[in-house]
Amino acid sequence: MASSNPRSGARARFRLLLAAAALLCLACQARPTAEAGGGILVVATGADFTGPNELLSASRIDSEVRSNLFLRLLQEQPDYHHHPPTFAPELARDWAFSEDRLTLTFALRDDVLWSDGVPVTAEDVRWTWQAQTAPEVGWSWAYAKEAIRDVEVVDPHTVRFHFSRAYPTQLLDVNEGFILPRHAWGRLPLGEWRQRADWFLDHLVVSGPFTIARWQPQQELVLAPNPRYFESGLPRLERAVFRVLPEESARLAQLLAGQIHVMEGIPPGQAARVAAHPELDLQALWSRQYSYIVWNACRPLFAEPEVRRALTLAIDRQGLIEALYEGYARIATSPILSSVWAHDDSLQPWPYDPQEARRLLAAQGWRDGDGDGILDRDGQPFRFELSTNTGNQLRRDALVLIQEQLRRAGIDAAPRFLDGQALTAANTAHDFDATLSGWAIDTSLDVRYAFHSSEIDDGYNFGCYANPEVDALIERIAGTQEPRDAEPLFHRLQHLLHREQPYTFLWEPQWLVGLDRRIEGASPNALLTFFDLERWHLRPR
Amino acid sequence: MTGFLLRRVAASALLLLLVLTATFLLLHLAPGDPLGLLAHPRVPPEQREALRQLWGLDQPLAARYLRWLGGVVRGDWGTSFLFRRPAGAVLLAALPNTLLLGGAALLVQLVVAVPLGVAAGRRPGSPLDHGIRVGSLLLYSLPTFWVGLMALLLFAYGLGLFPPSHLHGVGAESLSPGLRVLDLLHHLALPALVLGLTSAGGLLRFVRSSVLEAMGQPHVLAARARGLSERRVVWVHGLGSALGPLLQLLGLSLPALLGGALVTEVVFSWPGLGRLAWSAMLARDYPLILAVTAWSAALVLVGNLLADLLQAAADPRVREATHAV
Repeated sequence: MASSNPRSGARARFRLLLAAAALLCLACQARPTAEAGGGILVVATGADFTGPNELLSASRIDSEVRSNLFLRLLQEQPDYHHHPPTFAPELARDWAFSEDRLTLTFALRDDVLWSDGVPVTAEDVRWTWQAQTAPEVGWSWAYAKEAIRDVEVVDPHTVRFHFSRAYPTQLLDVNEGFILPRHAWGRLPLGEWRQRADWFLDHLVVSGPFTIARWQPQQELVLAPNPRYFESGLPRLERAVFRVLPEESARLAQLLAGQIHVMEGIPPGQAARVAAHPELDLQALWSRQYSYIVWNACRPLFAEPEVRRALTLAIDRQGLIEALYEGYARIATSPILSSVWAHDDSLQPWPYDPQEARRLLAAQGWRDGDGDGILDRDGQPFRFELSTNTGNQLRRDALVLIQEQLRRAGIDAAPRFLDGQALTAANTAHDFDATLSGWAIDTSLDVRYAFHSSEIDDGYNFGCYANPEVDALIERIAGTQEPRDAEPLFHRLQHLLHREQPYTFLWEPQWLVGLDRRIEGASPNALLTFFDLERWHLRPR
Repeated sequence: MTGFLLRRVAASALLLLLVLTATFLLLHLAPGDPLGLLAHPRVPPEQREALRQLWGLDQPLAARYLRWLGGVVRGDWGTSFLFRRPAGAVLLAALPNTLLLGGAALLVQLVVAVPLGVAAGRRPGSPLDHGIRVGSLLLYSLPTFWVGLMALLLFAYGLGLFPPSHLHGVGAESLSPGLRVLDLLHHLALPALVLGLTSAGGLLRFVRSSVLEAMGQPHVLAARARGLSERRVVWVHGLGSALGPLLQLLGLSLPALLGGALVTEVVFSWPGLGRLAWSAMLARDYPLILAVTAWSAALVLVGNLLADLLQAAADPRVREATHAV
């Protein structure tokens, strides 16, 4: 028998050792390296890419990737801090409104080709609009095109949008969505799009700086340069690899170990480790999100603005920010974020003042009559459920701390945890007392969905908030042609919301991004982390 | 035997239908729907309703169930909400990865449990036996996710011996086929060891008690009396009599391996069915959850069926008893 031969046994052991050595050698290659050229960028992402066609699906990582595959007419600039956002040319080199603002004409670049060599033309722009608004496609963002009556092809490189009305965010709405390849994707009837989403990957042509070299669902997406990209010398990276790592702790560990170059959404509690790492750079960006507690005014307990204001006074928001966000957040005062041009800087956050909260509540008849530490009125204790969604540890922790703070003011809030969909269902049915949640806002600054009384029945005005003056202000803002002219209206709106507290605006968190210090040319912002990815490159070690 | 087989297959199919129906009902009766995650707040109500219609979420529950069941019979599991591809295709893409991990873990389980179980069973009460018993209890008690995280911390992030996630390293597509296989094995090693070791505790104790019991049996004493080598007495005559129940236990442990794979796949970002199920549940991806549930339930049933068949093949009394019932 071969195994009884000592020499062959030694050979087998030697082979085994060789295999083990080879395996360990592979381990040495685990760190991503910068090769010749711009290098290979490795990014960790929690969610998987869902496909190239944005009309069928959307997530944060989808938007990041697609913004590097396709061009928009214009590129929205992250300069909305002091004025409405401006736009830089992208596929369009110039644009102009008619005097009545009912038509908007774009002059397109004539040197942009799809990756298969076909020119990008005005026909693509018109066809994209048709696909975006087709009911059978069911694009979630089709509402943005609601006021566009028609898209006219003037010539191959001139396209004109006709509007049914003029309003402040026309340019933003026209620019919503990438321009898609008519000659390639138009071959599949729109009615079949939803059933055959993977068809678009097989027929992918792109106009942006990158194309998809490889996509293995649940594993990784590899972007490679589009050789026909119109800007010569770009992109600089050889590859951008988006590796799917659902576990936040795994992403962080790989960032700290140098196995990935970029991680978005670093938990505040771990930011210090990233900041202290000699090879990493921590970027704290003011995000476009805020957290809030919505008080359900459909229920008598929260119907009075004074009671809602007292609840805000009873919550130590600065203390919570320090405890939960390690300072990477600031107190929110309105749905218009502090980093946005229309924010009313004169608004002062309600302070943490439990005594004033008790005084306000006492004026409303809430007193601790039976000495149990909980306020009562007409024999009913001040007791309610405070809900939030599962799967978000920060919110869970916040809810427990808020419960304790309210308790000190004589208010008994019982925590209630629901999964995301169940919470949304409960909120839209107004089947809740109070909910801790958050909104991500876009630069349109539209707050109708949350605060207009018409959104109580079918919309996202969860708390049944109704104030005729707020309704009128939202309408007037929507009817203002120049965004800048709406600034006083925005300020008045915020003043009313601040006074009446339909929400307790909790905090505006920062978006924390960890980047390898060898990355050059990166300019992440709150709109896109991988903004201008074509200019990113890795400095060799 | 054929009648026995047919009865068991029919009962398994019925059970599978019941599991899927219960899953379907539980999923659809839970509050909220997938649109809760997809609809942007600025989407007007009428458009949300149109989306609901497009996704078939506006239909009555019975109609949705019948339509879904009709599709399943035709092999169409519906389109995954999350991946926008046929749920069956998404599942099939992940299946080989889970089978690879499960197979490797089973190998680890056997390689660890059988020799150590035999060694402990041969010398009951010895320090070796005590050591193995404590070790197996420890393996049995430790949660897979904890062992996985510790293994990652120590061997992947600490010592850097193994990669912490995925099937392949970055840029593996440019490796030669041989190196690519090595790269895969390198990535497979840690999750397979974790899953295999944490599943080995129970099997090890079973092998130990089987060998211990068999060593006192007359046929083993007779083998020893015939002058056979100790190795042959233990491995052929001692372990041989425990083989039937051992195989049955292995059949029953198939679903347990799959359950453990869910946790291991999430911890090691291994792109298999477990991680798929986890993502599908978070996104309430009905078609994908149902497809994964069907596969898992089928595996449990096949495992049970295999166990019964092996036992029936090994012991005629089981066949006769089942027939009498």
